[in-house]
Amino acid sequence: MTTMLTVEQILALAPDASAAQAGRGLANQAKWVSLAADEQAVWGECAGSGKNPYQTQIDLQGPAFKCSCPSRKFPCKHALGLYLLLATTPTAFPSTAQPAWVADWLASRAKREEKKATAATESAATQPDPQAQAKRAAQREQKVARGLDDLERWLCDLVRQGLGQLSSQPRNCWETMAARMVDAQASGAARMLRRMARIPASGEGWQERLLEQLGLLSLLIERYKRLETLPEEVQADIRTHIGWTQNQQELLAGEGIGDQWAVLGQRVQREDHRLRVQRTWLYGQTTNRVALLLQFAPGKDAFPAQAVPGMSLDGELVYYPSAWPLRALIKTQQSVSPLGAFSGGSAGITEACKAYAGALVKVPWLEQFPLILRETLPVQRGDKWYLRDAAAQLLPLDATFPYTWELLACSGGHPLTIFGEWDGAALFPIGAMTAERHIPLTAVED
Amino acid sequence: MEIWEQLLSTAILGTERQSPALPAQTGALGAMLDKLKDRDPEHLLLGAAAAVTLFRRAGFTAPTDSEPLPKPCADDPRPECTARQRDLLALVLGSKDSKLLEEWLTYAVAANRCLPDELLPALCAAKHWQEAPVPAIGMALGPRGQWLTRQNAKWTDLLQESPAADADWETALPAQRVAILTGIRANDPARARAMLEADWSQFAPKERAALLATFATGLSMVDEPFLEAALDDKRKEVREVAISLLPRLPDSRLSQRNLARLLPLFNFTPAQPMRLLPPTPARPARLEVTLPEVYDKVMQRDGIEEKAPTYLHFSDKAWQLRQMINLVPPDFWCTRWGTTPEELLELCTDNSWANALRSGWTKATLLHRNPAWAIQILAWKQRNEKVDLDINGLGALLPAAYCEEEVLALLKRENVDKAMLSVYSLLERCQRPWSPALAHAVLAWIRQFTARKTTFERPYWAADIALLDHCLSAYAYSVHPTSFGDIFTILQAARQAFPDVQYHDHWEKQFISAEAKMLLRRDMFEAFQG
Repeated sequence: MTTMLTVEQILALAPDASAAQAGRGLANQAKWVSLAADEQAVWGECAGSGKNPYQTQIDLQGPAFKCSCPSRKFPCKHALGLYLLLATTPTAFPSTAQPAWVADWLASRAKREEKKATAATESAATQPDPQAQAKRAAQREQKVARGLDDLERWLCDLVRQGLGQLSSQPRNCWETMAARMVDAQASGAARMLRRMARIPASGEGWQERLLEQLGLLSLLIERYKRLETLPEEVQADIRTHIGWTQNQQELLAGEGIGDQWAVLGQRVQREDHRLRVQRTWLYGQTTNRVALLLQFAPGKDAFPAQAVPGMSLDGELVYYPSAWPLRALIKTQQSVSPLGAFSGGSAGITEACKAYAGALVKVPWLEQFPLILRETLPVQRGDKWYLRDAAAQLLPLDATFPYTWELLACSGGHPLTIFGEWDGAALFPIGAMTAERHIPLTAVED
Repeated sequence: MEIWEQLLSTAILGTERQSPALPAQTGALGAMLDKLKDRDPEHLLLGAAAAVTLFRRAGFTAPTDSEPLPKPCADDPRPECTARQRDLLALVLGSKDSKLLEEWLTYAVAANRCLPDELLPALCAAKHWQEAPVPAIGMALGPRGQWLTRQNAKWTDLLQESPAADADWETALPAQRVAILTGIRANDPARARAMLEADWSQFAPKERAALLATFATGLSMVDEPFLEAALDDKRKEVREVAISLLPRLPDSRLSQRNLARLLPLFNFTPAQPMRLLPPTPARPARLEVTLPEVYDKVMQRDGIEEKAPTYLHFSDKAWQLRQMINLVPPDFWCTRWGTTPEELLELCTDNSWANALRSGWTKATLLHRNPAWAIQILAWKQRNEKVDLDINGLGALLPAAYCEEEVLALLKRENVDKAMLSVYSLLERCQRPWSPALAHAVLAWIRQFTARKTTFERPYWAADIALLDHCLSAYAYSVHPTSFGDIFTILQAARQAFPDVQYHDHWEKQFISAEAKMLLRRDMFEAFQG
């Protein structure tokens, strides 16, 4: 299903700001020696600083990019420029036959997709030996239990010596423990530890934040110990947080929830020096449910384009099992259209906070709660920013949010619907909607 | 929250130093904490931390806002920018190029488009760029932009440049009042003066100085009494504004007083031609100058300082003389003595107070904005480089037509000499977009200069070679976007002709930068055409 993306959406695919800027500069017919397109792909040759022009091509289904320039960025500035040029002046692309270098690449992509599909069906077809499976599962439970025991002891040691001692400890005391967790097949716990490792250096109030995380981690370990006594959805949550992964094929085979899903916003954060995570938030306009799409990318790579903020996805989502279902996968997608009027969300801050409390009861480790607030105004009091609702109550905005003035400019004193991630103390806005249009506030952390 | 503070301090010290003693809690939290009582200290602390964290998070209470909200902004009647125009603005704002921004804003104002909301903060922040086009930004801000600048203290002075359509004199911000008064002054100076006189005592001194400065538009003798009274104002800023405005009115009392002091100090004998009967030789003109003897309070009130600043090499009396000459329009001397500026400049060469005279005339030229004198002083300075004369700011007075002629003449010269450096400053003064003749001449010069291999072998910081940088950059910014001519082929040819020269990389970068600017300008022009 190929959809024409708008310029903002194309620029959102850029790996960083300098690539986006360079891509804009290249969206100019004068720079391209040759240009052509057909229904499936777009290709062109761009004059660069080398002897021969660079050959750039885009597979519109995807989209997927390939360019012969030596840049390591993905997509590179030539690919971005070509895509932008297609979006702004489609008439510049005569429809011609695909040259060899385009046809070859598309053919190899098609082959790879086929192979993946057959591998998936094969792996689903082969019946895993139930006995071996059970044995592996039991072994894993043991490993995790031992690992978490070690972790518990380590946490107690930490608390016994006191957080004040942490500044004299080497940084990799966290990393060693995280590696131990990875060995014990508890990668979720390892991720939590790596996040905690960055807290001591995060500025004022770090002891508070660290204590919160330590408390929640120890709660998780405690709950795991009496896992069988808990209801099934809670078990699923605990397992997910410790590091068990759901089989995506199994999930997708389950029943999906169909609706017009509005893509409200996106946020990219760096987990550690290896990994970045992208959270895309969806809202079902009939079912009034929120869904979270989670993607990971190594290093500085770009994320595969999945759901673009400001669009409305007509399709089915499958939720991961949880006491408060949030994370989901796209099962089927019928069509994508620009987001029109939007009517979801809480009318006031009190209502939103009540919903948050309800979610916390079900999943205590919830770090980002999707909060949609209608009829709000961004206001500045002193040098802090807040959202003010119709009842004149203030919700603090996260101090690291970079687009406060842009939000104010788009509001102009008129109320907006603002959507963001709430963590119990501050809101990080990710999207806003006026009566006419959606304003993406995608913040990308490098 | 008390229990949280307790837990925190215990956690920081460590349970081996301080055992966690939790104050009793009521309600659900108390019941939960009771269940933890039997644990060892570490587990107690961690368990309590988890419980209290969840309690605090779930129990967040939003504070109530007590401050009033600003009025929402008015609707902008202008149509929105197209996507292409918005993209180009984003590109220009990212490039931090003041000239390109000014051009985009001029197009937008001419096409009467309202600016995209989300780019307004970046546009307001552009006022801090080097040579930022602040008037252009102020003009382009619509109702939403003006609303936004009122919210941010760093941006309020942009309002000075905005047409103040919806502001009220009583409640406006100081910067807005300046804008309102400037607007009224252009049409009805008397009304503007009346408004200022009525509220004069209420304004802060800085504001008074800024508001008085609006008298520069439509200045006439009717304003003279008010300005003369402002000479007695307590604050120096206000007095300075009055002193800068009054000399422009030759009939003002200040000018008359000054002339009365000054004229007795000069004694000019015009040139006498040779005569046969009775035989008298030709005698050149002579100018004798005496220094003022007395310094009194009247002079001080008129803005003449008694002591010369130490960094300038004037004696006190010479400094007073210079200041007095400053206040008189330079044309006055020419009409009075029937000479030309060049003659006067030559005349005072042998005079003991030559410095004071020349410096005074230069400053007078600046104050009274006299282009003819500016041209003559600059020409004289070129002939007499060694003499110390501050000609800063005279370039701005040169008329565009004159600059164009000068550049065309200079470019025709074969040799490169120091005068060439002024080519760039002259090019800046020429009217934009350049006339076809000028564009053609500069293009021809670039063509022949880049055809020489020596251009790329000399270091690019050498004065004559740096000129290519300047001319190329000026060409990229100033030629009309539809008539770039074959500059691209020239640059391409230059690239290919000398690929192995030493400074190839530098020129490659410069060429790419110039080409990018020209393409962007062409795109901007086309985007606003349709």
